[in-house]
Amino acid sequence: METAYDAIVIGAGNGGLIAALRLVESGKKTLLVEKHTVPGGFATSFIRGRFEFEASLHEMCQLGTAEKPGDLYKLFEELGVIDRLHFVTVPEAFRVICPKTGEDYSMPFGEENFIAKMESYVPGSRRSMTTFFQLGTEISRATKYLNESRGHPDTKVLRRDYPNFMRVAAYPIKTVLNAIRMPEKAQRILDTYWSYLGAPESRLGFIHFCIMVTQYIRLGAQIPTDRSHGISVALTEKIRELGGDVWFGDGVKKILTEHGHVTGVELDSGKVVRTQHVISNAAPHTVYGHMIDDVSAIPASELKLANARELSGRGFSMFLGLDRSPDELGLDNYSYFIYDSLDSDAAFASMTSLDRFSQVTVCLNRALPDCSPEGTTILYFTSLYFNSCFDEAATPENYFRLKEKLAEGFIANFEKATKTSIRPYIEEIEVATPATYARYTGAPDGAIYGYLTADLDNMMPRLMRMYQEGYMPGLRFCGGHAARSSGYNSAYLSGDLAAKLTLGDMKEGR
Amino acid sequence: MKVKVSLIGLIDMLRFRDLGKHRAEWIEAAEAKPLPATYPANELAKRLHPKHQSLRIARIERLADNIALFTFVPAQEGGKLAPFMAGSYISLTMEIDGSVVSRSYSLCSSPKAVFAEPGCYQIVVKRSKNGLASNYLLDRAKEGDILSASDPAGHLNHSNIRDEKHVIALAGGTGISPFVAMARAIADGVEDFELTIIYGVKNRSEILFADELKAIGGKTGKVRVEYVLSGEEDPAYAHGFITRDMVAQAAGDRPYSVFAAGPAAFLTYLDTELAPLHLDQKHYRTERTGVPLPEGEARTFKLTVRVEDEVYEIPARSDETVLTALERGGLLIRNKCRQGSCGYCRSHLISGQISADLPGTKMRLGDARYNYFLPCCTFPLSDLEIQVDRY
Ligand SMILES: Cc1cc2nc3c(=O)[nH]c(=O)nc-3n(C[C@H](O)[C@H](O)[C@H](O)COP(=O)(O)OP(=O)(O)OC[C@H]3O[C@@H](n4cnc5c(N)ncnc54)[C@H](O)[C@@H]3O)c2cc1C
Repeated sequence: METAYDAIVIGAGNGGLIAALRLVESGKKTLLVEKHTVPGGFATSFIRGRFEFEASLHEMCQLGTAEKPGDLYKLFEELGVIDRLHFVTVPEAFRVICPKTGEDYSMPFGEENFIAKMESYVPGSRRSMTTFFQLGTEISRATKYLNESRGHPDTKVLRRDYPNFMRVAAYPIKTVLNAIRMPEKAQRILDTYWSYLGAPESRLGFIHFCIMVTQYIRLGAQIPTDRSHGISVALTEKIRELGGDVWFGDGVKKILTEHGHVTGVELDSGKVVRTQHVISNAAPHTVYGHMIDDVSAIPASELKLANARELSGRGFSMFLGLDRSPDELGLDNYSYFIYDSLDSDAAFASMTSLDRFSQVTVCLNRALPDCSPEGTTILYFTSLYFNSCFDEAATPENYFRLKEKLAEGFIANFEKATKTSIRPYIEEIEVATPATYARYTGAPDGAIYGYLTADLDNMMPRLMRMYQEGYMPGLRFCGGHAARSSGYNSAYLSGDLAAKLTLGDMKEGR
Repeated sequence: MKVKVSLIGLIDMLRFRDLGKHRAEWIEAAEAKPLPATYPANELAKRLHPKHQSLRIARIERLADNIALFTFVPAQEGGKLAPFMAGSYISLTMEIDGSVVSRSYSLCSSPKAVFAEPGCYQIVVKRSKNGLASNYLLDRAKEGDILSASDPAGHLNHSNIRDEKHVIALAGGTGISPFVAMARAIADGVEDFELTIIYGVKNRSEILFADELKAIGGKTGKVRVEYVLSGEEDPAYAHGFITRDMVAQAAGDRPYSVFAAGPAAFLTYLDTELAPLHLDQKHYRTERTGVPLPEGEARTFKLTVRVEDEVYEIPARSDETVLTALERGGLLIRNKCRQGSCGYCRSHLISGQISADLPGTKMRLGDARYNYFLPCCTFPLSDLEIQVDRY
């Protein structure tokens, strides 16, 4: 059979970009096809008036700096792109506010600082916080070992080297934090980042949460100087320089199969391109839902898995360009987590209706002072809907008004929580709803965090079973819907993993 | 350190070991039924932003010499149009003598008309001297013809959050269209703000929609129009160009936002004329309806175009945009606004020199760093090699 490309990557989101880059870097003839006209998927930016808005990124996790590199830094280095990417470190970890109760806490980066600040808010929390960070260290090492053992760890090694990991690995957050006797109030503050993973503490695996929080606090969080779009373009150009092809504006309509194996793709333009290996940055729901005509080629286990899962939160965002400086507006912080409750289960439950306005809001100028013209501010808001409330309310007839109504709610809640006034200074406003995310990335129902990382679909069980679970020959997945779950770091790293699995498939003639 | 979750650590170990097993059971228990082909948010997105809309010309009405009102309905029986906010435009694509040409036109119909049966859009087309599309539409297009349109786009819309409740709209010629849509939206209860239109035209004969706007004003008390004639004197009308005094007078002492739409020269004029009013950006929103062409003798360069795995060579004139060269060469690329603001035609410059210093166009930092450019507002200064996207 004629093979035009060694591999085709569907979608130039974070996962797809890295997958394609790893493949070309390994000498494979690779085609990356993206249906939109810009790379990045969620990782993009857009211009309104004199502002360039970041479309998604609040904070990059697992990156670190040259002095203290995280896994992502090392990946960018390995792929020869780190010197093209420019980052700054976000000034503080977070400020979390519950307008209802008046709770309001600001937390710094750095393990020592974080523990000390927590002790000042919650006397007596130091010990459990210290344990939490120690657990973070052990868990990081243990998951690394698990990855290296490709799903076949030696129980003896696990017990000997990672006993605490073994003890906590199967539990949700709250169970473990109670077990290490963390005071309730400290737990409420520590839980702040839950919404970055998009599942509440009772359903989110402790492992995943602990890795993320300890990485954030230890490595700090970074953001790029050129918005995430700058990264997406830099990766695109690197792929091209190494001889890879990148086509925009032409999506993959169908994945072609014969006898259950991938044989090529058909593009929206009608063009057919042959390959035996596809990596999809589009979700399994999308691919199995309408991109494979011969449904019998889809392994039953894959269909079952997809059916068993829940989509993550549907995204809502608002982008404001303000014609006053952050100082004038009294915006002192970089990231504001504003919740209906500091109990994440209650907050999660409240994010199922359109009249609640929990949000994570970033003042970009606090990390990048010159991200907008002098005397102006960029402020962006993100929220999630954990059910179909948006779908039920939104119609073609009411769409524009609904956006405005929701925007008003988020603005008012922000002003109330932070005791600031921003509405009179809005020079540009843009609102993104689940329909916007569906439009630009094809994400099923506009869910922005892949599949809900909850219960048996947490990162740990996903990774443990990754090598045993079936897959369709010639088809691998990367990105926020893949095993490592969503987030920039996870999506980038998942692209590397998918490329390596595909390289393995090629070698083994699978 | 030893962390104990349950009383007996061994149970935790087993739980961990069984995590994989439990996951396998959880998957096994699920149904292997087909997955949904689509989702509500994705369907809504398609309705709001179809890649193409196929439109049938339902009616062509002459409004004045060289000006006509076009009414479009969905080409397909029972088809739906994408909704829009008053002030938006669509881009129409036509095949004219071997070239594929697209042009953007502001919608002047009420946003509510989209939801009638059948839904409709209206645009006003005025002849421009050597205009390929306007001449085609005015002379050759006929009722029943089918055209392809983009989804509605643009940012000259009223926001209750951002803008003041009183909008002073400055329109030159057919630049009236977006404001007619706003007036109609106010009449239909879709929008709720006060609109004062200061409408500059050459001659009385070019004044469009006067009766209807007056009627809306009478009915709602929210829409007023003041006319300014530049090409003839008439005691009933102001004479000359739109001035800051007219704006100040219309404003009174209430807060107001200024919206202006028209050719680049009109907006440049306004910038200077309105400067003493010290409008901040927030209160001054503009939409340019075209790109000024460079003067001087035209040269012809070679344009090498890469699209996916195809390569084309076509001529490109220094006094036409790269987008126009592509269209002349029969290579349609995605575009909407044609004046450097929507970013839809974003393409990659592989080699060559371009002039792309149109004021008011802003590129993303990453795009500027890696030689991306907007063909719709860029002129070649040498032979070029570019990579464009499939339409
Ligand atoms: C508002 C918001 C805020 C966020 N904040 C953060 C944050 O602070 N930190 C963080 O780490 N993460 C954050 N995230 C999450 C992060 O953006 C995502 O997890 C990550 O970008 C997902 O990358 P991905 O690889 O899954 O690709 P996606 O972004 O999902 O991209 C998939 C790509 O595939 C393309 N595609 C789909 N179907 C086809 C097809 N048939 N043919 C061709 N192409 C196709 C799409 O057009 C798209 O470009 C945020 C997300 C949002 C929306």
